[in-house]
Amino acid sequence: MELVVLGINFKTAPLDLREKLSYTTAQVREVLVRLQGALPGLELLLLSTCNRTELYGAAEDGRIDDQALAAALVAGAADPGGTFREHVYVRRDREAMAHLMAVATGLDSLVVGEAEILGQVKQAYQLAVEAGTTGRYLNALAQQVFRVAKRVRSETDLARGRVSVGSIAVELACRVFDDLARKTAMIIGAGEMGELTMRALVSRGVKGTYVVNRSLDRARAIADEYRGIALPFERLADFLPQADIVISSTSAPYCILDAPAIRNAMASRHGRPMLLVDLAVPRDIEEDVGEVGNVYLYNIDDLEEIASENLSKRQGAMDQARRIVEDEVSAVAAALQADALGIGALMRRLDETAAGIRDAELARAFAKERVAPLGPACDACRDEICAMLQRALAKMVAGPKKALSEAARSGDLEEFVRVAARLYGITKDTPGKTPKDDHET
Amino acid sequence: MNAEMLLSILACGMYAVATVMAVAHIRDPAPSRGQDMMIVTGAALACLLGALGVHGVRCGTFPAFGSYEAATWYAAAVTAAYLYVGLRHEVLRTLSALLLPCLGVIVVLALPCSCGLAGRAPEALHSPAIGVHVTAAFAGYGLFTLESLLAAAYLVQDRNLKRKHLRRAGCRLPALEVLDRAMQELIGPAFLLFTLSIGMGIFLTHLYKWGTSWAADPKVLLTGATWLVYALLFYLRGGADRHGRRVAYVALLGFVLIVAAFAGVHLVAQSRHDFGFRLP
Repeated sequence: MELVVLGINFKTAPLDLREKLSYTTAQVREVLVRLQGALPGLELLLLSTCNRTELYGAAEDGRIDDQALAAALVAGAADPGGTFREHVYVRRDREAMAHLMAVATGLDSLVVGEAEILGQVKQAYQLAVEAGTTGRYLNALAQQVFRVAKRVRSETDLARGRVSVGSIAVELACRVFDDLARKTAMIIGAGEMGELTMRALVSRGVKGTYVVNRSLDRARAIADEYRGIALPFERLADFLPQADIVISSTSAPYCILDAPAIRNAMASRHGRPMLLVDLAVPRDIEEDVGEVGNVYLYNIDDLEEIASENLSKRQGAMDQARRIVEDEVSAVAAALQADALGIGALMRRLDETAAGIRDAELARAFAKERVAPLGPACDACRDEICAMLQRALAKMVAGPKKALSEAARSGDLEEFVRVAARLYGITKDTPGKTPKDDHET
Repeated sequence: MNAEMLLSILACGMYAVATVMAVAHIRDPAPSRGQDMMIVTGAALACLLGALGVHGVRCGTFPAFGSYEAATWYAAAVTAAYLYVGLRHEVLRTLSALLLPCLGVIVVLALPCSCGLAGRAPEALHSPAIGVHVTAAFAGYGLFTLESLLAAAYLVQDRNLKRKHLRRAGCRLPALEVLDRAMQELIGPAFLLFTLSIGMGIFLTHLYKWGTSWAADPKVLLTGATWLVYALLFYLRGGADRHGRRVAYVALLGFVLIVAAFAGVHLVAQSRHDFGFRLP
């Protein structure tokens, strides 16, 4: 079994490159189907967020050609002829698994410990399931990764404090404005990121909120929750001058705010500052907007500086989280390897063999009435004998099962499987022989 | 060493202590430390006013006609303006780390002039109106100076935010909006006091029948230009409700004119407001 991840993220590629290789939710499904057509036999998962685009591929047998995987991924990019390959990283097997865990736990995030990324990984997995590109390996891996992410959040302080892009946007707002309670925020795009940012702003007392979205129903749903005002996209220009803080996180493939629009808005603000935070990839707000006087434009990469400050404050929690991930990578790799080698099936066969022996022996004993004076009337005694025999056999197979599990962790599983097959006459596919079988043969 | 010199040195010591406290306050903000810093700064102001009083008694006139008095008045006025703003906006107390050392230097530079009686006023100018004229002028200068400091801080913070230099020391400056609001609060009283001072000066020229020769005095001309700039600023802030960078630039222009009118003009021309400083 082989696992490969390749992709670009905020550490390896600048924003203008990342936005050319980003996919919306709808596009992810299409891309996965296309990729599976181009790379048959591979299990695939595509994670596309504002900070990263990563493709995970798993193959039952044989080595995955990462060049082919990269070519297939880049083929769907906005600019396939771009310089993506210089920025692409590739990781295999345990490293790939550790990377996915680091991503899901927020260790590899721009804002270390952020909660949003786990939801994004879960959504990416769900999309892959819907597209039919996951299989036994990725399904098992995803469940393990979600468990590890939960463990890191519960056992470390990684998620405590200022740990979301939304909270960083709030911090930026505090550098521009004195009292957020007298400010008005506008969220453009009613996605998860927009909602989280809105929540962070409202929790800091922001007075008024506008939610602008192409789907007015979705905008209303969020606006109602935060006592804001939902606006159709067409009214954006009318209400923009009233907004002190604008957070944009739409999935539009083009810029929705340009310098002339912002100049128009600023004309009626009399020089009062306006903070624009563009969380979208591709960007929603033109770069030139930052040149407009009294306008402060930040995109997702610009948040890195505050994020790095955040990073140094929680170094201890990060180290603890990394140790958990390292431990879990070994355990999960062993479990997945064992699963691939059929250890689960082998153990089930052991249990089935023991159950077969128990049933056969009980049937023979009761049929010949050797266990007199037990008759059909003494059910309690009969049940007790059954339970006793079951416990004895379970204890007998517990030792071999434990040895198999340990062998899986230490990498000696294949040898132990052969020994088990010789000792008990079973394989992962065929049940062992029972006394009844002996009689029949 | 006379009493006013001793008091001025004491004020410089207070400025030094307050500066150290301000730096500590920036590194680790604590309300009690900020409050102590304000008390020490207030004590420095009291020392300066005491020095002016002692000097006035020694000279037997209103202390406003020599370099020492002018520098001490100016330092006291800026300190008072700072205390006024610092009490209203706690976050602006961080600016004292920049302001107080400069005031200390001004006071130290003026110390050698404290011994003589160069600032003795002509007998004709022993009028209470002179006191009002000088006090209003320096109070206006003090408030304008602080306005300019806030404008400079605004422009530095604006630059940091534009260039996304969020971890620089300059980013420990207060939020843009706090600086802008403080500037807005200062311009009204500053402009009124400055206008009062000019009005009182015109009144004095009529009172003592000095004719129109004062109008050609370079210092008076520059003061008129300064008044015009601050009138524009007052209109932009109060009448047109303007904020942001451009208004901050106007405040800085006003400060350049203040420096030119207050000190620079003596380097190139003779003026009746010479504070004892005369071209060779």
